[in-house]
Amino acid sequence: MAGSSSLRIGNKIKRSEQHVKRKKEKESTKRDERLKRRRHEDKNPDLRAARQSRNVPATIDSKRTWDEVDPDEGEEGAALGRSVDILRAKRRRVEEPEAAEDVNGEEAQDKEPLDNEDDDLDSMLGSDSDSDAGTKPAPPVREPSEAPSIATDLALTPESLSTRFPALFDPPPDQQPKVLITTSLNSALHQEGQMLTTLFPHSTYIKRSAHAHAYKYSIREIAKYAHGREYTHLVILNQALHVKEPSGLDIVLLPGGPMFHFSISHFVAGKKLPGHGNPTNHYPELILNGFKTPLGLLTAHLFKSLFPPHPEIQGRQVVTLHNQRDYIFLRRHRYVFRDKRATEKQIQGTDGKPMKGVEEVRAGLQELGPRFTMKLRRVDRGVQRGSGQEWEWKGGDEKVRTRFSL
Amino acid sequence: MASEEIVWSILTNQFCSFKLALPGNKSSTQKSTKQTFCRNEHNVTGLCNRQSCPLANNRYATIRSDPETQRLYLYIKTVERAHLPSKWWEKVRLSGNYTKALQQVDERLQYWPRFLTHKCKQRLTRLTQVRVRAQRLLKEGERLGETLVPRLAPKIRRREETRERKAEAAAKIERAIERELVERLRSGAYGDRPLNVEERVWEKVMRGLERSQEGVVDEDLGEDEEEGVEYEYEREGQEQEVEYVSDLEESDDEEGEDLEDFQDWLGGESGGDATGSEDDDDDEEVDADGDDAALKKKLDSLKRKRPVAPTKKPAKKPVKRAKANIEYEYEPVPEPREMLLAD
Repeated sequence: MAGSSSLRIGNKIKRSEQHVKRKKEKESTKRDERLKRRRHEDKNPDLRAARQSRNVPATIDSKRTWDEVDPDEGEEGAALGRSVDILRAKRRRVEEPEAAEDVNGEEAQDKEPLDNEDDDLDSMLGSDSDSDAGTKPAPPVREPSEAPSIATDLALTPESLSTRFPALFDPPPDQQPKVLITTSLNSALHQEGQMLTTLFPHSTYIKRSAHAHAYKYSIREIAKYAHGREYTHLVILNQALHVKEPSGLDIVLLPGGPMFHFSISHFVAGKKLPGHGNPTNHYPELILNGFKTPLGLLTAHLFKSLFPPHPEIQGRQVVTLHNQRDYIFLRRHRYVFRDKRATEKQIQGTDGKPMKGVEEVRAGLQELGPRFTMKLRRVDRGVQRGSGQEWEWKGGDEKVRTRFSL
Repeated sequence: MASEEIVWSILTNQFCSFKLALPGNKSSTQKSTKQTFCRNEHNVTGLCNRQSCPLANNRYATIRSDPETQRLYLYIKTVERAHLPSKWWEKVRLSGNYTKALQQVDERLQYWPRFLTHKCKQRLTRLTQVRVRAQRLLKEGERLGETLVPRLAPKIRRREETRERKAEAAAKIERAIERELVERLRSGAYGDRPLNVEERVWEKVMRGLERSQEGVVDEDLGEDEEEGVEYEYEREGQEQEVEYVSDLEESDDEEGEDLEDFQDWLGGESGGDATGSEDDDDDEEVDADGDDAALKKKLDSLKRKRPVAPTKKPAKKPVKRAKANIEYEYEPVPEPREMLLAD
């Protein structure tokens, strides 16, 4: 690179020609190397596996930081405000009774059953970056599979959490949810409200106010009346000021239960999606991905409670709530299991390896109904702000890029 | 008296800092708001007049409300204190009752010019109405409990938008969904003859599972039988928890299920639907890659035709690996035993 002034060619045309030439050369050598490497690796796939295991790209999800929890705290550590990975913490505590969140302990265990462990597990959760750094690069460190050998009810929800929210964690069996959907005051989101009735089975949409001069029912009153009519959830679609779009979603567990406030972005109606399908009223299956902390667990149980517990699989519909970095993506699909076409790849597990036993199968997805993104902002103990907050989103929490609350 | 005139002439003709002339007032066409306003807080009418000006009148009265307690006070300015500006205003607290307050004003300003008493009473009325209205709005707000959520600061809004975009890119939602669904299919969460799969596809899956299961059976022929039972039992117990675990993650295990759904579908029979073979399959899939390849090789030699794609891979794997891998297959078997004992 002719960076220094002494080597810099004075003539701009010549200079740029040289630059282009140099660049081409560089790119060409890179390309040659790349193609040569590919040829080598095509002959010997182990090389590729080794190289890829060496060069694992760092993602924010792999660098995720967790709040420190003293082992003495025990259940306190699973307070809502803490970003603690309850699932892994429990698993570890199960596997090594000595060391609670000790990374070394984990490493020691990892090394031993190295080859037996399943592929799909936990590569996304990843081992800690510590343990990764500690072990040799060649065979990727895998965490032991769902360990809980100690069979007796390994309740993965911390006791404190499930006792505080019995309606969510210990619901009466076979309780069908009944959802009342409405909007904020002075809102024009009637179509969106109707869309949500297709999303939640056993739901009805009721307009918030009859007309502009009618009595304005407050949320507390509506919750009371709804509970009287045996509704289990109240869903409020908030409208942003002066924009005819949903900007928030409030879910109230009746009666007087915790209230969850979400903000919504990118609400897209089903009709606007290319290649969309029309939903039927079969109970959908539910997929809840990526909820790791106590707060995440709470949210996951909330979503679970909104849908009937026994899905009708002949309907082949699935509602997915995928949490990634505190953003919950809601999608709704109709799926079909079909043969894999010759041009398609096999389905890969979370570690990037193809899944066994289903090499010839792919699942086709057709998107139905609305899709949107939610972000949890606040959890109230009772019905509204006045009843005290369990948890509140604060901008300051996001200063650390790698810390997530759900 | 004379001083009043002097003051007024200065205020009108020269300058008064409290005088407020609205922009539209100057034009000849606008007739309605020719009136200038007075911003002095003690002005009883709010207009700039000879009679209304608190500075140009040595005898003056007004009504003002206390910001904290919302009580109304009668402020009186008399001639006797005209030379002591800091002591001009005498504050009289009025009753909270509107009619009583009116009477109090009447009684206090009994021999005063009618203009002032009248304007004071008018102001009293208006301030009372304002107070009542404010209280009503407060109560309504209290009842509704909804406040307008303040808008996020632009910096935070922008940051969140970007982060959401990146998160969506990182999430690969459709792939995750596909993986999860196929996982459920493979693990038998849909039961023996599921309603959401075509015959052909289901048979393919079954074959795939049997293939991997068969491999295990072939290897640990004698041993597996006794252990198999315990192992199954163990796996069943584990499976329940497994679903629990994997539900709330990026469901990555092969046993990963939607925890409650799976438990419900199984209806509490621990892994009853998932047949023993499938349980073993799951175990089998716990093994590393190499095992599977070796197994497939074995099956190849055993019997039937295999779908095109996978044949390539096992064929490619050099035979020498098979021996090494066979050893590993035994390893998972003793493990659960240990775990059982550790119970």
